[in-house]
Amino acid sequence: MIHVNSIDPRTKLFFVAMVSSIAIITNDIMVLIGLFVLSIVALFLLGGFSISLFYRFRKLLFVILAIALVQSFFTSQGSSILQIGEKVILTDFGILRAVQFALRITIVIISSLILITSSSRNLIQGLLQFKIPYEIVFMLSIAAKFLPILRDEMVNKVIAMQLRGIDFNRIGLRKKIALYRYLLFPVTINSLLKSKDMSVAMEMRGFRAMDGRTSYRSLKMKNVDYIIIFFSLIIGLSLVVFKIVKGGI
Amino acid sequence: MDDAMIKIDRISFGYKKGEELFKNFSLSLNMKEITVLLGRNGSGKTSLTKIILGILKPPIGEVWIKGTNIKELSLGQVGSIIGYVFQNPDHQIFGATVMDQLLWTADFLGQDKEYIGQKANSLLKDFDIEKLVDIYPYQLSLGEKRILTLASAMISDPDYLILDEPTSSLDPDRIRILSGYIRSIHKKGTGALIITHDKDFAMEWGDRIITIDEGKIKDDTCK
Repeated sequence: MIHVNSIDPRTKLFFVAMVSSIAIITNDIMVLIGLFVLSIVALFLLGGFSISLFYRFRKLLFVILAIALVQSFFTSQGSSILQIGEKVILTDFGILRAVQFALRITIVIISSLILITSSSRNLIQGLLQFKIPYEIVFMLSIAAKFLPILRDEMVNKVIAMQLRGIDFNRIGLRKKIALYRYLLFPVTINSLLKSKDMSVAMEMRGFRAMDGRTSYRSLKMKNVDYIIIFFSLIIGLSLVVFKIVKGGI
Repeated sequence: MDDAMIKIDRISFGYKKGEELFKNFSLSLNMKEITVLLGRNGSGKTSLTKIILGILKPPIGEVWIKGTNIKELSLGQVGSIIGYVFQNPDHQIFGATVMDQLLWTADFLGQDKEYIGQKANSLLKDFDIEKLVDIYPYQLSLGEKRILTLASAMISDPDYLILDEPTSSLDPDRIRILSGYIRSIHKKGTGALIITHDKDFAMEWGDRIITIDEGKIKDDTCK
């Protein structure tokens, strides 16, 4: 297994961008399967893979089924697999489209998990060395850190609502929608207040006090990074050339 | 089930596998008693209240509220029996004004609006926050928010109260008002479990003082 810290975060970023871009532009089921396997292998080698991942993706099965039915119902392409009377319910084309969609989403999510194998500080440094302005990189890292805080706050608010005697299972849809207003309003205000407090705290610690911020850390690419980037580039470019020549990949 | 409001029967619970915060822990809290829970930070006081309310579910043992197993109650049902005030009052603020914070549940619970309106005015007076009635709750100080969330918990006349560090960030005048209110509801027969670090408050108001440490009852004294 490759040591987690031995791969430069910029290499991971490049690999993730390449794999995700190809997954989005390609329609070829074999290419999608190949990218899926590649993402899983890369994640496994970097130590970010766990078998519970597949358990988390179980909800995607319903999405696949829903897309397969919608695609079969509203398009005339493909041959019928299941029909009731004259109405076609399921076609091979519908199933193919649904599987393509599921693979695409799974590849994007799994390849993105590769980024989590780097520490957030190293990722920030990687983006900085890609010459992305520090303010933008910092905003991205703060947004990522805020997500679990927001999730916890929502959970606490829902618990607090219930503890005021509101039983979510016993109220109608209209009242449920009205409840979300009471839920989202304070969460939004709280986020704004938190960001205001944080900006003051950052200013107090000298954020942007001087031009030309320097970094204590510096990332250095190794041979393995260049090899990964080279092969990712070759695969990506080959597929693009193949698409141009054949008119579809 | 005798006079027990809350009965915790041999629960075991931990946040991490293999690290149990409570092991074979039992406790019974009486309906009309003011129980004060003392303990160091991280000793399990807030976790215990969350177990009582059914927010945290221990894999071993049972919790009973007024004779009903908590597994048979939804959080909403528990909330209509027990009024809970979080350590962080921001979790419990939903209304656009102080008055709205007290009244917003009326529509959802089908409560009599006239009665709830009168009750809200009475609570505002009891807690001396009448002047804040039209203020947006996020503009309040931490102490004022804490008092407001206590008033919100009392609006539905719960049978029992759980207050998580109600005296922290309160000035002496507000502690006096809080104490007076607890005394008045106690006289009417409402019990409470109060978590605090304020030993003077505990000695003055607790009918029973329990000290826990590392998930075990270290001391249990009745006045």
